[in-house]
Amino acid sequence: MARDLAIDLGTANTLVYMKGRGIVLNEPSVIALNRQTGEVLATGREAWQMIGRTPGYIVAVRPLRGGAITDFEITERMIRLLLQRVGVSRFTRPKVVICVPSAITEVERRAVTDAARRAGAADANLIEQPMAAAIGADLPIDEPVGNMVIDIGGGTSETAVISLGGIVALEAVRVGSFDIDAAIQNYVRREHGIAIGERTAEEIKVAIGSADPTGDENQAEVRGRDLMTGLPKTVLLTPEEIRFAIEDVVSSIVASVIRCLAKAPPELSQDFLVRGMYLVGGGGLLRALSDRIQRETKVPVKMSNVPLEAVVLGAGHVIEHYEALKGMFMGVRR
Amino acid sequence: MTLTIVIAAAAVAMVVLVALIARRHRTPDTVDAFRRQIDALSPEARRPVVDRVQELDTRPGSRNDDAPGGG
Repeated sequence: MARDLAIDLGTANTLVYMKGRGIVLNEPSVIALNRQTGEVLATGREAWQMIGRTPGYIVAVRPLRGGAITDFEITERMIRLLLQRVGVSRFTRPKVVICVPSAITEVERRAVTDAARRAGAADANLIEQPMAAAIGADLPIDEPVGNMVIDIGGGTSETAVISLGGIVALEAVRVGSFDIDAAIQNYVRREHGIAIGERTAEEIKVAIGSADPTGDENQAEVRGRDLMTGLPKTVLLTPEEIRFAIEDVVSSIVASVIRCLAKAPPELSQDFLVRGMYLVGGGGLLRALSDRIQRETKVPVKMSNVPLEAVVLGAGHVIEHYEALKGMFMGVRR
Repeated sequence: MTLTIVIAAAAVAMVVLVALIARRHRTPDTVDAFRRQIDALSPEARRPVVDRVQELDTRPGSRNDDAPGGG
């Protein structure tokens, strides 16, 4: 008998929660394929290490972009391999709950559930990421009070107001931490004339990236390929430069939080001033992002204790109480 | 023959009546379902999952230190 599973199918990472066991898998959402034969060579962390470093016949890809499936077939293969790794076979078909961005289209919803069913799930249901994040972040969403959660993922940023187990207001933008990496890549190319890879851009973001000035303003040495000569070149980047480079992405995230606050009913708005907003998701780890949101909204912002795992833990709770909580699935009439 | 038809019609009418009454009585089920959903979202119900995370934190090498960010 298979144990039921909850999956956070993120643009950056895929996490799997097994009923009665907890988180059993946490890997980057990457798959490496042989370009000529189409065979899968690696998935997860092993494939992630190959990004930008593969010979011509290997391609390491992320099958999800902006929270949506960009390649259905590859996503299905990735899900199948991940499920095999947690013990799912053709004889053990578990029920699966998958977290997806709330703004996905009907076609995208069907693509995700079909991919999970073909990959071995007996039944696949979807739950909105901000709702799962609020459950996983241990917010009192069973009470008639305003709980606000900001989930900044790799490809999407979603802000939701939740009360009495339901979403009251929601705002989503297809912008996330990968857009911050891309903005850094573009800036370095444009201003310093060197090309850097996706992983280097991410390392710069982690090392000196911030949404607001911080006390720690160290420079970072970056190596890339000179676009004029083609030779390796080293440049120094300052945190101020990176703030300038990522400003458009950060402002777009902050603007979506403000729009969500504006949509919230006044009775719940006053709760935010007392209880604050909760930040989850890997993108929320950008230095001083909580300070920036707090400065612009005048509402306290708190970081969840489990920012990277909140979504899958919330979905895990739903799988633990499947019968009682199945009314929360996307597409179920309430 | 006529009697059979009358009995069959009466039986169908009874079934329809019972179904209608059952449907009317089902309304409070939505209240129960909502109550069950709210109870399942309470901090007490969520405690086992939270405890499992604490176990995850205390297990050596259980967290992934070099994983890429993002969600």
